[in-house]
Amino acid sequence: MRRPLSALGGFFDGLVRFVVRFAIGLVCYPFDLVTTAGRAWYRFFFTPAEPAPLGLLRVSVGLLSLWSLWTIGLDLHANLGSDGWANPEALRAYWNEWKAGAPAWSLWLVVPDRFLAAAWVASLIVVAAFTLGIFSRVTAVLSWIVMVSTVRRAPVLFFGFDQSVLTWLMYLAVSGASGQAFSLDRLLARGHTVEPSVSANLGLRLIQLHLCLIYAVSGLAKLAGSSWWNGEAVLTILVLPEYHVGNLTWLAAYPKLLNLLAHGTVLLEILYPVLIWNRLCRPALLVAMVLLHVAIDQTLGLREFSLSMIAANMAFVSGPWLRGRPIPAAPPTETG
Amino acid sequence: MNSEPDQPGAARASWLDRLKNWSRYPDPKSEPAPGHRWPSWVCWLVSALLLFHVTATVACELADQWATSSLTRQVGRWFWSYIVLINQDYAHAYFAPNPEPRTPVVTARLRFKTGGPYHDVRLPDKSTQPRIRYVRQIAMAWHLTHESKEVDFAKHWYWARSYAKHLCRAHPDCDRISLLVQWHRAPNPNKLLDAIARSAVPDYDSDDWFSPPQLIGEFACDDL
Repeated sequence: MRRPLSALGGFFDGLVRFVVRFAIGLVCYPFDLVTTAGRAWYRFFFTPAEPAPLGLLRVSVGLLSLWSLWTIGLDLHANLGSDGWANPEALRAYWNEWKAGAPAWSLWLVVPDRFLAAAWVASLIVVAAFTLGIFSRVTAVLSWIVMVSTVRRAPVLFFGFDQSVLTWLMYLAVSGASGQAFSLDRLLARGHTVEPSVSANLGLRLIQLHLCLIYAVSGLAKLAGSSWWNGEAVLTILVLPEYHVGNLTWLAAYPKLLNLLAHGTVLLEILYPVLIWNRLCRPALLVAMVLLHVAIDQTLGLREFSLSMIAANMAFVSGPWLRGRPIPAAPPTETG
Repeated sequence: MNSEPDQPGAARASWLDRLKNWSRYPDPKSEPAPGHRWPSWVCWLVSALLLFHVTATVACELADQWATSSLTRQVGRWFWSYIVLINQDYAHAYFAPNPEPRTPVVTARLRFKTGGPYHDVRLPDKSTQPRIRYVRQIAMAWHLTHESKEVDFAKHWYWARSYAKHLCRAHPDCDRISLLVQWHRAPNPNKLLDAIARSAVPDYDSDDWFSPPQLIGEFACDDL
């Protein structure tokens, strides 16, 4: 009789221990989840980072903005004048209807036509100063205001390039850290010493996250299209009328290759936001993305768009690697 | 560093290490300082702003897609003013769900008071350089075409009117302007394959690949 009783006691003892363990786990799990997520959040956004990639991004985005603004000036009055392609009445009607009363704005609307050229030259000087890294904190914000004003003034003329370059410009302005490397500010203030900073990390993290969002949305939206599943999408893009830069119809003779490119594009865009955070995968993904954007440039002639996306990918390039310093080891992961 | 000649793996590692060290800065004093961390209250404040910004960006990006639920649209509306203010009201669904196999070409037909022959202005104009200006003209053609598809187009044709007004001001002798749209079609992939197999690839920029012109609108310069 003793043996079964002791077995029963052991069973109840195990059961009680299990219930206690389960109850403790139930109470502690949300707390652990929140504290671990909080620590990860802090480490992700508030660890000082080398500003070198941000400095390179500032130069690239600045040069692209300068080029965009310069070409806008080639048809200055048609682009930004009151009798231009998008006159102020049309613009306000468009804002009222499509922006539903949201605060869309453009400083070009308050510039009279006779001062347009002077304002354009002043804008070029501001963006040039930002590119060189002169008074970077102020010129970054001013450059963003100038470029947003330009895009908002004539929304009919702008495309993916303007959207992407304005996104990177916004984060460079908000972080206030774009002049911490490769800038005249740095050269004049403290020589060549570059210190890691939290603001540089914030700027890089925001650009990285937004880049991942763009690729994820672009890739996931393609999953709803039959031509990306049957592999015809790339051929359609290659022979897209008015865009194509050369006769690429001969590529249609290699349907399997075109299918591979279509599936590869979707796969790359979807996997990028997941795998780019892995150190080993990162170089391969960056090379693949550069190749994708070079292909977009060579087939559709969207050079500025491709360059702006390649520039944004630089946010994932290691700062210490750029400066030729040892890359710090990854923080140990918690186990068990 | 302590490579032994009888261990080829170790010798290779040493050679790689030497190359890696050579490619870096030789002075250990040039190592970056650990950097200053922010006070915790600043981190909390910035975290709240980050949370708001990231949520707003993701919500509006999803709400702007071609297929959305009423929930995503509702959440997107909460952040819409902020997203428009910072100029991030874009959907980045490039060539999705399917690339459009055609591109609009808008022709403005200008008729003059003198009664002479009409003059056509093409959007996009293939002679435009540098290319970014040409691509901007394609964007303009897309806007004019999209606008003309609106249900109550005559009430909403602000871009068509604006473009016509611009052309009237740029050509003072102009009396009337007709805006026409044609679709420049891409070849069907299967037909293209057949054509390649027969070694008879046609010129896809020829007139055969354009749809018949459709009138967007007629504008009298005196009324604009």
